[in-house]
Amino acid sequence: MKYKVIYLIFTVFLSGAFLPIPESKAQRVEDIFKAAGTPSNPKVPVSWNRYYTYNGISSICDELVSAYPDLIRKTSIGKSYEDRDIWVLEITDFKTKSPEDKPGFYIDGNIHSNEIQGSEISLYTAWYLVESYNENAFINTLLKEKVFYIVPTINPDARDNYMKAPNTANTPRSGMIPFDDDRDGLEDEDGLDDINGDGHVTYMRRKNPNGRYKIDPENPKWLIRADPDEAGQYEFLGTEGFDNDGDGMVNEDRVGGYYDPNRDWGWDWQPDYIQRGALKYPFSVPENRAVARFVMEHPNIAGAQSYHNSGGMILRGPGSSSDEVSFHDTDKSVYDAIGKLGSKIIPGYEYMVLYTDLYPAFGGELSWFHGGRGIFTFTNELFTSKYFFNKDYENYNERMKDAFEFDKYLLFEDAYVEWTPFDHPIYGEIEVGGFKRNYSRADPGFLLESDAHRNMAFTIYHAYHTPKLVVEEVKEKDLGKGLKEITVTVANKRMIPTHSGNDIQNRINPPDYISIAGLEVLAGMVVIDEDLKITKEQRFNPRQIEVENIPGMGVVTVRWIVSGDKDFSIIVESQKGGNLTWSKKS
Amino acid sequence: MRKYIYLFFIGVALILHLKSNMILGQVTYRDHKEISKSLRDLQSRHPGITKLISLTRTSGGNDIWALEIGKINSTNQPGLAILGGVDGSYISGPELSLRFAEEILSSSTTDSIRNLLDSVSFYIIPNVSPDASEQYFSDLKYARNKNSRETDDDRDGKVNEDPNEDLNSDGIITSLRIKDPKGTWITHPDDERVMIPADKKEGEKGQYILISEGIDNDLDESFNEDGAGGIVFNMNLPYKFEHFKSGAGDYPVSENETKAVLDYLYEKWNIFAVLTFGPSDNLSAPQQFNKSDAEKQVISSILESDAMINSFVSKKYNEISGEISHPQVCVSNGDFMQWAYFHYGRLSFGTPAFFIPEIKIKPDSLDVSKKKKEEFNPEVNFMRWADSTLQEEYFLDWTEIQHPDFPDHHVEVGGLYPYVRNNPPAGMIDSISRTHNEFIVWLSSQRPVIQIINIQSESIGKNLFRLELDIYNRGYFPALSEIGIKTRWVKKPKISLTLDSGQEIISGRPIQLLDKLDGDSGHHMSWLIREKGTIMVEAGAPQTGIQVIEIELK
Repeated sequence: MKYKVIYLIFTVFLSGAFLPIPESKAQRVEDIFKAAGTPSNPKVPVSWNRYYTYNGISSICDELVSAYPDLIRKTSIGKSYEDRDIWVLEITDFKTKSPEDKPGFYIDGNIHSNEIQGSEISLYTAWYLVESYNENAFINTLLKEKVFYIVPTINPDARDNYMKAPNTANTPRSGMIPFDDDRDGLEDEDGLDDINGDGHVTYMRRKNPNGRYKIDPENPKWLIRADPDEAGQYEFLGTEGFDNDGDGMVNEDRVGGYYDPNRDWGWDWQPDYIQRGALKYPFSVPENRAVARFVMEHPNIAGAQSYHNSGGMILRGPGSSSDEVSFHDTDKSVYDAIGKLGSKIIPGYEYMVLYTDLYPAFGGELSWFHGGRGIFTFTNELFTSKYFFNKDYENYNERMKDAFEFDKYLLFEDAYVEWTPFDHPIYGEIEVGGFKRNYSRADPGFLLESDAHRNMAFTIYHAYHTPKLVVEEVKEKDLGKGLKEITVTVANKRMIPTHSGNDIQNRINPPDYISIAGLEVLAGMVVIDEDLKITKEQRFNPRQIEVENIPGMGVVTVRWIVSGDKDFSIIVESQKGGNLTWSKKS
Repeated sequence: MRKYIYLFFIGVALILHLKSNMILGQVTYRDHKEISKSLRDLQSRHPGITKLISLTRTSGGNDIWALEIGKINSTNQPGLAILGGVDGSYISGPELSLRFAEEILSSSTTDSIRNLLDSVSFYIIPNVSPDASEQYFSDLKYARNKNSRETDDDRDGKVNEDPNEDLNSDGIITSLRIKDPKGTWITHPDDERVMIPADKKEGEKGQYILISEGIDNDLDESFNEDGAGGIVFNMNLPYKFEHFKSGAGDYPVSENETKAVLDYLYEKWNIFAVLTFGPSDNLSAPQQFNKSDAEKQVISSILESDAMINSFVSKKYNEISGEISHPQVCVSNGDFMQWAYFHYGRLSFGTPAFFIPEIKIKPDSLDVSKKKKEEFNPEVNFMRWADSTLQEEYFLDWTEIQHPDFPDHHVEVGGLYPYVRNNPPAGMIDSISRTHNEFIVWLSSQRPVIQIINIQSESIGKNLFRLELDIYNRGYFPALSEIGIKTRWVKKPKISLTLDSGQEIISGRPIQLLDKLDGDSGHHMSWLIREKGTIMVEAGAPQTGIQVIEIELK
């Protein structure tokens, strides 16, 4: 007993060491007044206005698991290239049905390693769900009916590299597999450098009367192009760096280099000379292969979300015109309904089709989820410059001007490094400065929680609309001579069908099964039109009727001719709609 | 009723008690165990110049072997990869790959082969479909090409629920023909044994249903559509991968063996060409350049200069192996040969290695009113050839049986044995192996070889020197195929200068990459260097070999 107490104190002390918010008087329960929609007294307090490394994420996951063992479990779906575990949080009410009997919803973030806030938003979702379970009826029911699979980062190696090594807001983007970008036989031999050792990789410029840039008279912090008839003041020399390998080029083969984990998925995939960023073959990025295996092993996943940055977009496939065939009209109407609601509840975010409204991309994650697995999937591009001053920008200069003003008036110049002189071994006297990596793509701290909440709300709406199946009606009709006709209607009370149009066409997932148990079955059939008495008999194993789909907000009807008058059960088995049993008790 | 028919079949089996069928003369081919043993023997007999690696194990637990021959662990020696068994029913592929290894190693003490192995490496992966090819050696023979992964081939939610059945218990899966007015097949007028589709254009009416031997176990009106296995290696590659097709896999490169082979090849930057034994064929006839397909975003035609090389190599193949009747390019979606070209970026060649010669019958010996003669039917031709040539059994005469799914129908089991059309019989394997070994040695002699030639240095005064030279590819093959220029998976030739202390480059780059270097062509380079001393010039790429020279400026 004593040991246990000591152990407890010790673990509390240890976990306290990881707690983002230290205990203080102002946070006693009696001193808190609940804000609407947010868990007021969470068991696991987390600051949602900053970013976490891989270790930071892992320890928040662990704290959630130890606080809510009946609601959340953490497992590893596989190892990253550098041997980190890729954690998945399985979140559901484990006491109400087992997870594999419920429709699943998958969420991941950070596939592009520099697009970090997807991890915090995924993690916020996990935190919110478990912390709200006891105080919010909607979330409580949701976790009884659905299971969430949340992978906060599917690129843990390069997430840490982004935060800890010399990087800009745009690097590394890839994972950490060494790659010979310049095809000279060496890998990652000439990357970015923090040349002046100030902890930031910013930009290099050099005074030059023949340069084509000048200081913006309205905003002396940055350069704009000189007018065509005007002499310039500066030349722009790119991102901070040296020519590390002496080949006459600067920063041409950086760490990780240019491979794109989001051009690596096994659907509509093309090699690198057609789709820049593709690696060797589909799923040659080990982190993606682990995700693919996890998804294959969890066929109950009916909806999915991946998080990127930036631009304020809610994207759906297809990624290319050639994949338009896998988006059937019935699927599009579901996407449209969810996407449009999304653009309403996340003001500033626009619902778009990837290849027509953004750019074409082969082998994207959302393409594989939809095309390869029949899962309704969105990708959100988090953070938008509309968050500056609630404005749309016509051009780049206008947007940059407000970026500086936002930094000035809201962030008090925390995102900016003043231009300072530096003696460069190649370029001589230059100046180094500009925005830090945590600005322009990642949400500034005070916006992060808001962006997290709105995006989570969008995924919850999506998850809510994964299929919900109920046995709606069971009719018995006596046919005489000991024969009975039993007609069963199974309804799907949500928008997402048990099978997408593409799924039905290609039979990606098995059909739904509606079975009867307890009676001798002579014949079984699908009822195509009950009023007109049109049915289709199923000869093989008539006890278990196969239906190709249970449509969103729709029903299917099946019928058996049975003999006997005992009690019976109806069993519905649907990979994406869940499993349930209805029993007749006399 | 069904039960009794099963019992009947078992009874027939017991009464007939199989004579052992000798398809192709089975002693010719080695099963996986024997192949593994032969490979180990080769390694232990030739330790300095061979290395045997197991790349992975298949879902059936079989090793995928790679045998490296040449300067082991050399990363800068041009290499040729040879694959067999991309389709498990082409059992001659593993045999021919292995025989090449055996012959070249047994001649490795001769000057010519020793010289060859000093400058070329061979990467031989004899069998990438061992799960499938073992079917040939098992008690129930059928032309299997699927590995042992359990799959739902017809995507109905049930796994392996409708395999073939050996209804006549002869140990071999052949065909069934069922007399039925609904059928779409008729017998060939030139050879009643051969079934052909009725030609509506000619007013022909079908008389038979033709299916493979078995019953409809799951009553879905498809026959034998979901048997043991699996994934077909030659459908599992990402070039033109066909999603959801039986045998293709859940996604490209889903299988251990596919992934392991590709990972292995991607590490071998020095491979300049790939040769595949299997159904894909661009050696009996070359692939043609199609401008419009080559210019689309998703390139689906061999590129122009690569097509020219293919044409020359095919011509040489025909010279060495003897004239091939009715040669025809053969490719399929998701196949390895096309992947090696379109995605791996290497020159890629393929052949089934075995071609049936055309047996011409004099016109006057033909009956009138037969099929139009310009319609060459390969199966009829095969029967003519086999009738006159083969010692082994190759055809089961159509024999009436009872079939539970076709009561009151005239049902016959019969037709060609599996394997016989795609694999040479015992008597031919030696000569086929010899000609292909000769072809492989010739192919490796076409490799790109980079040399530094026409070296000139002159002083232009005051310790300033101009250095000039040509980077020359003396091989027939280019340093990079035209498709290889596009992909990042082939290295560019790199020319780098290392200077003496005190020396300095005044003009020119210390490191330079060449985007292309065709066969028998050169690239001129020059530098201005300050100060005397010895300069080291290194030129080449893994697939061309690298030459290093020293030049003294004085």
